[in-house]
Amino acid sequence: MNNKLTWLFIISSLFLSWGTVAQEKEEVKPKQERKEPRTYALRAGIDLYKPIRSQFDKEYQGLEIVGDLKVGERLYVASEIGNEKRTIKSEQLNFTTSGSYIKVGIDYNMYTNWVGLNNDIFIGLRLARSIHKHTLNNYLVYITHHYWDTPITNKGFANGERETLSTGWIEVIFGTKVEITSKFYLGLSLRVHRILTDDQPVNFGNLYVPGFNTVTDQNKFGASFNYTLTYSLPFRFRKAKAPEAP
Amino acid sequence: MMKNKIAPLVFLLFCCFLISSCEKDDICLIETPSTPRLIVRLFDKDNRQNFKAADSISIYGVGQEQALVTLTTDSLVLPLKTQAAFTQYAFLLKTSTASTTVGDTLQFNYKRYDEYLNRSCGYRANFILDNNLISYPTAAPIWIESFEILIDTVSNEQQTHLAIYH
Repeated sequence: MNNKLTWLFIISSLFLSWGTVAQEKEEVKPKQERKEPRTYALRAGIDLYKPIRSQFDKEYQGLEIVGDLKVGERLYVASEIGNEKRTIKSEQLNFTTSGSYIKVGIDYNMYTNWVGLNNDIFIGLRLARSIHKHTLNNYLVYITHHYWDTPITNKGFANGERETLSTGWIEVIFGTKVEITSKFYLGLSLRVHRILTDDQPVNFGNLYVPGFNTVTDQNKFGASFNYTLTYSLPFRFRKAKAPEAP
Repeated sequence: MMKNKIAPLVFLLFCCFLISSCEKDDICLIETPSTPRLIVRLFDKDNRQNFKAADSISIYGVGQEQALVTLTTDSLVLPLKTQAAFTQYAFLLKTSTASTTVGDTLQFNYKRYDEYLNRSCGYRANFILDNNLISYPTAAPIWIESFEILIDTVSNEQQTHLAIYH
């Protein structure tokens, strides 16, 4: 704690003196800042939850690759690309959805790090799109009178694969990334989705979208999370004066 | 320092597992129209405009021990089998000489197609009646004179699909 306060004092006193000095030498300072080469960082990794769940859940297969690129002091361009196959069984329906999705957007780090630390508490925004299709495996016809018994319809009738669909949605993200060892990050993000464009298959519903998760009737909202392990690769572009591409 | 940061992460992750494992079970509302039954009205064979009730008619599904209904009525509501392209019903009528009964076995022929409702209810069956809707699997009919298909698509129970003249 003492250490903290001491640092805070030193840093803030530096700023104070800089502020008073800056009034005299306004023109020189910005030029010096420009010369500082900006550090970018490409961070890439996977969502740990999906492959782990694939091991334990027979009805689920999934993989998600995540990545972000630091483009500003607090700003990242971020993306997730994933693939999912999931079988959902309910009382009436048993269907399999398989497909891929891509999410692209930005993250903004709200957390002010101390010197030497690279942790993030961020909010983010994504535009996402999926390509997926549903296959109805079997179903129980909805009958309220029970004179005859109603067996499950295993083949024929409405069973079978539906056409390929595409769903678009937007995500608002709240998350955190913590540097666990040098260059390795653990991240958790919670996401709220809202459907923007939605296809409906012929004689079926768009009940599940890879990346979006369950789509409920008469509700355009959804939620998901991911738990990522990423590796960060910082790099700098060479100074403009050095010879680069012709 | 590091441990302090990871602990809430682990906790959050745990919460997520909890949330994701409780999926909402939608409940199929009772108002949702289910698979419709065949609506049959009984008409007078001599005066085809008039309804004519059958006296305490007992209807048995062939293969079932329990009667579907036993009533005096001119309106019959018959559930159709979804797992077959036909349903057989035996119609037993008491004759005027009390103890004995006359029976007809009718076979209703149709095609089924399933219509998607929603996530919680799934599908309901609709039926398209064959032109040759009624056939007589056992013997020529005794009390039925003829029949007429009024609406060949059974998709609701508000309309009469079939007229039987007797």
